[in-house]
Amino acid sequence: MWQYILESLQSLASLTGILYMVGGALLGVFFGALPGLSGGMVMTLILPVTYKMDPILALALFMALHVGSTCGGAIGSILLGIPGTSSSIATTWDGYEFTKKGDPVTPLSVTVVSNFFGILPGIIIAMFLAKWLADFGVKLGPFEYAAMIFCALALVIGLSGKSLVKGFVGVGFAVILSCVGTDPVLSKERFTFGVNGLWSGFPVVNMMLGLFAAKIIMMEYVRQSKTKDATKIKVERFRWPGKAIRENLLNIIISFFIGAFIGFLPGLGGPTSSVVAYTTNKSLAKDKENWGKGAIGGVFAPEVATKGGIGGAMIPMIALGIPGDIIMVQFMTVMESHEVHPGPGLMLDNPEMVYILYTAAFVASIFVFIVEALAMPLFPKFISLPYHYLYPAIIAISFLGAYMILSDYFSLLVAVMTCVLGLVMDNFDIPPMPFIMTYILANLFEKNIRQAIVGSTNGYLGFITRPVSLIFIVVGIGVLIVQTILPAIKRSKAAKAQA
Amino acid sequence: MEKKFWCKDRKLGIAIILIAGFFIWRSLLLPASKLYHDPGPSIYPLIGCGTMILCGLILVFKPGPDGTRMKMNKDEKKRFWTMLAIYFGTVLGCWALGMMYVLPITLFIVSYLFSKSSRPDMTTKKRLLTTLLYTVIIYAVIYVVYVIVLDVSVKNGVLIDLIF
Repeated sequence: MWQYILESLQSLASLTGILYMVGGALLGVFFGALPGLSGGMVMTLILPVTYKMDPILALALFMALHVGSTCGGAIGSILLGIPGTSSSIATTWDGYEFTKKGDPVTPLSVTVVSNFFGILPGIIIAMFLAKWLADFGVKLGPFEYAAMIFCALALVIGLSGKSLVKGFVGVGFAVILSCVGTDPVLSKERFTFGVNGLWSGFPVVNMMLGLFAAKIIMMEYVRQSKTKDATKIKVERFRWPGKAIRENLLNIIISFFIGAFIGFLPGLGGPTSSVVAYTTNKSLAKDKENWGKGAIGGVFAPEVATKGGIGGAMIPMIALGIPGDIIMVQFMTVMESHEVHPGPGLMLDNPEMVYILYTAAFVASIFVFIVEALAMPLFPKFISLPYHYLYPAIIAISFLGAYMILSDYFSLLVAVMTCVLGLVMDNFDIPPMPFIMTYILANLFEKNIRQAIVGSTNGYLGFITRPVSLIFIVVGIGVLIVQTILPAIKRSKAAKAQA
Repeated sequence: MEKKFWCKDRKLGIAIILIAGFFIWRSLLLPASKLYHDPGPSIYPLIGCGTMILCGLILVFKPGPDGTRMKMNKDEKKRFWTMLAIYFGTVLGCWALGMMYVLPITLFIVSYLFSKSSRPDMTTKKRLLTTLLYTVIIYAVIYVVYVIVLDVSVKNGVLIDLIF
């Protein structure tokens, strides 16, 4: 293990490595801070470029962007009361109250140190747990693997809190779209309708560019959201919040574990963990009446939980090849584009890829700490930039990125059509997460289902006669049933109360 | 409040039943696998279509309330169709002429539109000049990064190939 960590550090210590890490951290903080945009957006834009990069450095760059944007999300929440990312919504409740009282430095300093309290222990846990989980994953056969993918998809649909039916509609769409091209077992042509461009299927990068970049910019233009001026807010230099840390030690520990655990579960991530950590710690706090009016514990809780989720989310992606959120889907896409396949075999075949993720997260958190601590007085200017000027450039980069994948103009049409599909999905409230997650896992899912049936004497019964497979299926169905029954109970209770 | 019969969910339900029906038909036309026990290339799309039909039926018979997320006023609709036309126009233009020629035009148009909404007080002449300058700078940066540094070869469109 230490050998790989040292090798990863060596790769990052090169001039290119440092440039990628610093550039990624800066860009991540910047995009994370801007309401409307996000780190996911900049990662989507850079995704096509990673095809031409060294895979180790591409992953390091992505990790720096991810850490930077997760940390930058709180800046808008604290200074403007507008969260930069959905994970920073809970930070707004208390963080912005400090700004209104004329003290934005205290919550900003707390968010900066929260990076350490969340990311570092999360990475250490991920290092040990991913190894253990991968050892378990290696023993899984195709029945168990297919059942596990089903369970992950059920968790994403069930736990995201959106309509189950709409979630499954997204899954259905993704299954059909993933079938276009050739089938993964026999490489037979499927749903190409005689169009040559469809032979290789729809590249996932183009779909993400359409779904996340082109669609977001389009809706920003349609809604004409205005930048709020923050230049009048005076922010002084970073102050080490030693006293606040001592007073909130329990809060930090609880929030970290909440963040790491929720980050581990597919489909939840930062937005949920930050709110759960906030409400849990509020109920335990001695000064709960101050929460929501400017309590520093109310800044620690969501911030530590969000950052704790970074390590947690990496575990299933590395060990089992199951991405828990869109960001992990992007990491997987970077690996897949270099013929590196996340999953149980990753630790054995490409351990350097795994350790670069841990090391880069560690190094990125240090860079982000330095960047945020030094640049704190500039934050108001940072988020008041007329970032409408960024949008046209994002559109141009999206088109170029979409073209780069297959060097074919047909790929541009795929990106634009996916943008339209995303708009249609928005119109009908179909959540994008089950769709994109099913799409990226589609080949693996189909391959495992078919391999399982081919190698079995029991046919489909194998899914329920094998204990591990049965457990995954029961958990998946259980989550779906609970999520169907709970709202019905709530509705009937509400109806009774009204009567 | 009484629910409209043709609510969003019901429309979606019918649409996905039709789409799934079409793909079931296409799946059944796929050749069977010669591997022993292999359910063949049609099994996976059939699972997807089955899921969609089930969801479609639920949406048709038990639709939820209409969301408000995508409701647009007249101006927003105008901007929506303008941007969509730009996206499709760019794809068509790239195919016909090539990305090298079309991308700066798209960049200019989109920048102009965004500057109109973010700086409405600017005069048209100043806006045109600022947008032009912005387009030149951004395009130059993008060109250097993608075409020179990353060595992306940008093909000409079919019309340019035909003419020259």
